[in-house]
Amino acid sequence: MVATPLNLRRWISAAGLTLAAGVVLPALAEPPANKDGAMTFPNVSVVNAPAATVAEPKSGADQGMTAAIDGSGKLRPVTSEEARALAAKPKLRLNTRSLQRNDADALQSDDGGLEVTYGDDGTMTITLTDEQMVYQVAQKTAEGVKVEEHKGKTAAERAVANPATDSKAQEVGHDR
Amino acid sequence: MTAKSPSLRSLLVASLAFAGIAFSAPTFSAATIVIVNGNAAGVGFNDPTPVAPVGGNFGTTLGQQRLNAFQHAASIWGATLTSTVPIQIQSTFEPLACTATSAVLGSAGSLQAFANFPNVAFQNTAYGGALASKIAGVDLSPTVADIRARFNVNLGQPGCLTGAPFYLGFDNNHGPLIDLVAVLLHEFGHGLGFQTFTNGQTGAQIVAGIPTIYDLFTFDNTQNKLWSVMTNAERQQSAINGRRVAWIGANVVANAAAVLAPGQPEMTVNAPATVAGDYQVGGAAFGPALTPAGLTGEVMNVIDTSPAGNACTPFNAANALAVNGKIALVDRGVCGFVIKVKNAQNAGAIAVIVADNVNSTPPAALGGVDPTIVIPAVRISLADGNRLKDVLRFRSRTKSGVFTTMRSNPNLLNGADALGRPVIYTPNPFEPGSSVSHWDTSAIPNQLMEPSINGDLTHSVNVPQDLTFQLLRDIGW
Repeated sequence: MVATPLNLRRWISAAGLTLAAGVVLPALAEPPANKDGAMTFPNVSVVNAPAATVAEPKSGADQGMTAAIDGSGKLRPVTSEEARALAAKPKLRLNTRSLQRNDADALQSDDGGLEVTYGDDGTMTITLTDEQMVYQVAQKTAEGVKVEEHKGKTAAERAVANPATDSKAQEVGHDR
Repeated sequence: MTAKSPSLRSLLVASLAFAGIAFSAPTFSAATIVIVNGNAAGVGFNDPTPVAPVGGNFGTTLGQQRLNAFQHAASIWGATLTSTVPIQIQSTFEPLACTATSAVLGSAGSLQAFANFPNVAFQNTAYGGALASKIAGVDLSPTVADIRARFNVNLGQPGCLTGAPFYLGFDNNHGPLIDLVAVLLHEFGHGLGFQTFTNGQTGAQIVAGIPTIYDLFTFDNTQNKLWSVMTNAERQQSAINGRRVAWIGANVVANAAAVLAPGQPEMTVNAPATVAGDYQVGGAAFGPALTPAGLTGEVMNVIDTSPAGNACTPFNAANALAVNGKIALVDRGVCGFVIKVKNAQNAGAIAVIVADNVNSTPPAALGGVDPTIVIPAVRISLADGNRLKDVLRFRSRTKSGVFTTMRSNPNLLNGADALGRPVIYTPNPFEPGSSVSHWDTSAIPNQLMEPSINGDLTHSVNVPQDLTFQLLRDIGW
């Protein structure tokens, strides 16, 4: 059956709108896609942690730099098992210096013994800890729910345990 | 050829063009954010508890609504940022410290900082992982997520800020609940670089000699120095130099006037001479704005009455007589600011001064919403409140002899210095976690990256509502 102009127009209209809607609507918040009401959003993807923590080199540069030395001292390509093992050690880069800062310099810095590593290209990597994270702590008071931020897990947990000392809370919403 | 052919062709072209525009749109919003769901089956993002859709969040399980909210916040950032390297946010809902009246809502931040990486503009300077990878053009640490985000899985349950769970809708209709999307936008902002790794309490850099990129734009107007070139002692002093530390990045400064409202509130005590002078004030988010011409009146303090006190209940006859036609001075505490001001208004006051009840300068703004309030209000510091109350001890029932003028300065932006540069939050005393890594609370309208999550935030991260993205542009986004 040959499509008449009218049918064709309907088809094109439907196709165009479907095509456009399929792209535009997610930007507005797409209706539920499955029984749990999962939604899709532009510029966002979700992965489960087990898949994400399997170390897979993401850049060609990293992959190209990986090599092994054979029994005669010559470079050879790494096997897939070796590649996985290397990638599973995020801090173990070839020819990388690793410093545990406990010298006098550390006394003048705020690293508190943070691990600092240096790559072959001079890149410095500072591994941060929970004490560098920003924590939000909420409290119920007569004035309403107040929220304040604390630097570090220790300070945040102290604020939860001792709300009476937490005098500079910033009130949320109706009173700050 | 029929007469309909051109219209068909036009329709086809229009349809494809529309689709083409729609398809090409993502190329203008060039950052992908990956939410790494770290929860096990049945908990957190995977909690199967049935829930009703709320505020545009169509999730039908608690876990899915949480995940939708994370994605919604990430999508706002993804549509704004530009990067060829995906930004990974390792995310979990998990038990965090809490009691019935206090709780850790969540935490977030960079997992790593980098310096001296390829393409970097400033050597020997620490950048958060997401920004460093964006600048380098490669993921500098492929096996480690850029940002870690933990949120309290028990919030609102008995024994954990009981009855005050996260609001999971997208529509800002959170009422008294804590708006998770706003909290996420704020926390992701820190993870993307809206923070210094330098310790403002000690002045120490995270590694000696390595300032944070944030420090290269943080300028102390008193010392006339950037944070990056100060000594530790100078940074310590700067961190408590209230409203005198400004952000000088070009993008923020260029857009400040498009975001921040003009008319910084000011207050001058005219008499008696012992307390006369200019006082630092925080403006109010409610009520009418002060005018350049100003409002002058006699100040009468409200004598608290138990049990509510602090102007939290309708004024008794003595207080009503005292404040009628006058400027009421009330103490902060016990109830919200709008309740106090409304009670003073009902008693005939022409304006309200709220004296802080904690020692912190400069005074923060007064938050709250009440469209029925028609008189202006400001907050003054605890010390200034005590100064005024000291002379008010000698007032009669209807006169005090303390006169003040409250006005706005149309030449100054709310939340900016005299040069129009937004100011950084540097209260005295220092507030770990809040100081330096936020905008000052005097900003109007309220900004996403103030130390408090205010109820009137719009979920915007960019002009004309917000300056967060402009700051991120300054540091390299």
